[in-house]
Amino acid sequence: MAEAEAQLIQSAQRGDLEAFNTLVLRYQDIVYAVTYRIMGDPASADDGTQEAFINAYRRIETYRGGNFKAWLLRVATNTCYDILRYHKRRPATALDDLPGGDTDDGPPIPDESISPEEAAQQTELNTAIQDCINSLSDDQRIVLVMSDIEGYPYQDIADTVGTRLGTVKSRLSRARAGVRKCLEAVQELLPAEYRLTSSND
Amino acid sequence: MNDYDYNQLSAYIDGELTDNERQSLELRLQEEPELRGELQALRQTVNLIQQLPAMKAPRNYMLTAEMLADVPERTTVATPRNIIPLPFMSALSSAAAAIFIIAGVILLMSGDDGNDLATTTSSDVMGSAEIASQFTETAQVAFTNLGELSTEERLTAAAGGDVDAIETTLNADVDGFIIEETATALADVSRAMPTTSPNALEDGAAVTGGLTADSADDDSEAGGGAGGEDTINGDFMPDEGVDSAPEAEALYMEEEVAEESMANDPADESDSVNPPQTILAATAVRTTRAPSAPLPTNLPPNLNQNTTAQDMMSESSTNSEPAPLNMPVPTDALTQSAVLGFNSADDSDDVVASVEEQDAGEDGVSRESAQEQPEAQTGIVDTENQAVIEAVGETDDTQNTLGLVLIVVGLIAGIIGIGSWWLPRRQQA
Repeated sequence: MAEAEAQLIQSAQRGDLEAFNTLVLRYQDIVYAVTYRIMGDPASADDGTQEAFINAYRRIETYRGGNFKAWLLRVATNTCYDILRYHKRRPATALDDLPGGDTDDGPPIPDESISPEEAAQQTELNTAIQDCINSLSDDQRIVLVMSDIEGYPYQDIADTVGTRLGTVKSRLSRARAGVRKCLEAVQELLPAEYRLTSSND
Repeated sequence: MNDYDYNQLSAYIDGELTDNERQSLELRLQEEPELRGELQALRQTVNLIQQLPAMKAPRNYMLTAEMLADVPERTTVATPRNIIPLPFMSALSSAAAAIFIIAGVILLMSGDDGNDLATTTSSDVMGSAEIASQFTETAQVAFTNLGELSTEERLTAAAGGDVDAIETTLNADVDGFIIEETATALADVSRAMPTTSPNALEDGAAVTGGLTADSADDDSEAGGGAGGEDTINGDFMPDEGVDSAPEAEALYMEEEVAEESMANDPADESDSVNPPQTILAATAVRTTRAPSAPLPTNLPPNLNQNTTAQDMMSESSTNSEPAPLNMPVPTDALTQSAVLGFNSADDSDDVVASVEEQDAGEDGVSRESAQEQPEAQTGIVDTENQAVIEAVGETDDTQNTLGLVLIVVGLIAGIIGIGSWWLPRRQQA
């Protein structure tokens, strides 16, 4: 697997677009998930994902070995940063663009066996969580997504975003505290089983 | 609870604490209910985030050749390909900044010298004295252009009973360079014209050069001591004059007696006498010779060799209106600028004051004869003097402006250099 990936990477570095597209199919879900959580809406995530792969192909010569997924996610993360700065706005989330919305390009619902009512509750909860994530700063949001959604260890996050381990630790702690405060403010809107327990309870 | 506690709790959930940190925190959790409550709330939040559904890409993002050609490169992801050119630009900009700033400073410094002189000329000269100042100005600029930087200002006044003009050309060997220094400022003072005010004489005798000089007092300084030295330390503004021709004549008679006494005892500078009653010329001389360099030895008999320029200028103030004087038209700008607008009135045949080259090997000074000149030419020369002064001033302004522009460009290049060095590091961060 790793050897096959290394050969694909070397072929892509020599300009083999087909080999690179093989890598795209292998990592596009992860890249899209990261870009979606960072950008906050499916349309921006779609643009960000496509642009991230284009940037990765143009710069694949700079890959010097190591964790290719981490390198690719770093490219995707920086691409999202650039897009956010380019538009000079925080991405606004429309209801139709939320996960599970009516748009065709929205991410698919993971479990299609749940009832429509449960799906509605799940969608409401996901919307609230995503809104709270979107309220974070870019730095905090990136770290939170990579840690709590993608499950990366701190060191990989630090390598990806190019910062120190202690900074990742601090940013993640603040991001979690921010999401918690945000969800406490809207927990009346959430189903009972998802309401947060106050630390004073 | 503080930030450290929240950081520890967050890292504890992720299993990112060291063994010591984890044990210490667990001990605290057993003892502190508040800390346990925070840990529970934080875990619930993380669980809510982690329960977000895994996402699948809504489509394939495989690339095509057309896609690579159409999409502009908007992002600035920090990669070595982007970083490589920037250090080169930083080095190039830094070098350009240094060159521009140094060139600008040099231009400013050279422009300042001329500018000071121009300012002096325009501000210190009044009336007929403006001509003499313009001469001094031009002479200084000319010497500066010759690269001669350490000369000192001198005023040589030539005086003689019937002499109306003296032109002195000095050839001084300065640091291996033969610099011809020609300076002539003329102030013809005639006892026969007693109506001239002392101020006019002062103006006529005023010589500027960015220096200051003590006023030469007729009785005290003119004859001796330090005041008798021919080193000019500044503007000559004789503070007092003689109001009438009889007074000037009486003073002259006294001075002649003193001069004779001085001739008998040349070593006693304190007894040196004032110039004669008719000061014909005041010649500003820049020279590198010793400050006490004597005047030519073949001066008219009523001008003692030890008589100083300051003395003569002081003397000029005791006389009345300058008489017209004809001077030869020099061939070079420097000499032309030295010719003042005084015309010979009635003694043009006797005007020539010739100073033979003498003692050249001894003191490096050569003297040339001053030729009389037609009256009409002096006006032309005066106009040329003004033109030269204005041209010099404009050149200085251009130099200063160019120098400032170069410095500004250098600073901009420096900023670009610093930015080129800093931006890649910021992108990497």
